[in-house]
Amino acid sequence: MSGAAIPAAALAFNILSAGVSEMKQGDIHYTGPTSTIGVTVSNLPSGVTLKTKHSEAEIFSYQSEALAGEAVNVKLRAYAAYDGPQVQVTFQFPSDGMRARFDSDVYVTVGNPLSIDRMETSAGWQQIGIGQYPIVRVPISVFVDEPWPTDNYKATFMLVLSGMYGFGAPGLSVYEDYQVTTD
Amino acid sequence: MSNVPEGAQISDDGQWFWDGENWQAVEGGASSSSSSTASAGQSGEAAKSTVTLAFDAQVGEEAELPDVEGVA
Repeated sequence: MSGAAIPAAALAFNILSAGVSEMKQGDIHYTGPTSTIGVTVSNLPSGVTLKTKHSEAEIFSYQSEALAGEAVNVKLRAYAAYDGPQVQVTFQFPSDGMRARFDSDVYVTVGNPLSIDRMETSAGWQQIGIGQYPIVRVPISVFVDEPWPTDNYKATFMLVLSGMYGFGAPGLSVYEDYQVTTD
Repeated sequence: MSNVPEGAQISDDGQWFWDGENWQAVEGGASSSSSSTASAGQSGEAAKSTVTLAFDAQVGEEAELPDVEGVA
C-alpha cells in the first residue's frame, strides 16, 4: 500500500439479524436464526473493494456417556465470512453432532446479535479510510436434560464476532459471560 | 445394603447410592434386573456418567486489506 491516506469514512455498521424459529436438527431441539446473522456496513470509502475471508469453528461440543453407551453427542459449528468492516455467520450441527438418545433432551438456542461495539483498525486499514471494525455478541444457550443419574447440564455464553477476525478479536475472548450449571 | 453409608441418598430404584462424588452400586441390591440400563462396564462398579465438554473456537486471522482503486 502506498500513496496518500484516504480520509476516514463515517462507516455505518448495521446488525444483520434473522427470523428465529424452532426446529429439530437430528435429535436436537434448535431455536435460532433461519439465515445468516452478523454486521453489514454502508458508506465505505469509494474505490475500496473488500476481500472476503472464510473461517469455521467448532463453537462447542458436548458428549455424555451415561447409560448404555453414548447418550448425547452435540456439536455446534459456525461458519463465518468477514472482510474487515463486516461479518456474517451461520450455524450448523454436523452429522456426527446431533445425537440425543435414551430420554435425553437437548435444547440449543442461538439468538440474534446484540448491540455493536467498535474497535480501532490497524494502520494499514486506517490508511484506506476504514478506521473501525465492528464487534457483536451472539447469545447462545445449551440445555441437556439427561436421564437420572447423570446431572443436567446448562451453559450460556456470548459468542463474540468481529468484522476483522470473524471469531473473537485480539484482547477479547471468543466466549464471554460463560456460565455453566449442572444439577 | 451393607455398603450404603448411613444417611446416603439412594436412587429411586434402590440400586445406587451417592457417596458424595459418584453414584455407587448397592451391594446386594436388585441390580441384576436392570443391568442393561446401568452399563457401568463392570459389574459392581458405579454407573459411568462421563461428560466431555469443549469450547474450542479461537480468534480468527485478520481480514485481508482491500483493493483500493488507483492505489498500487
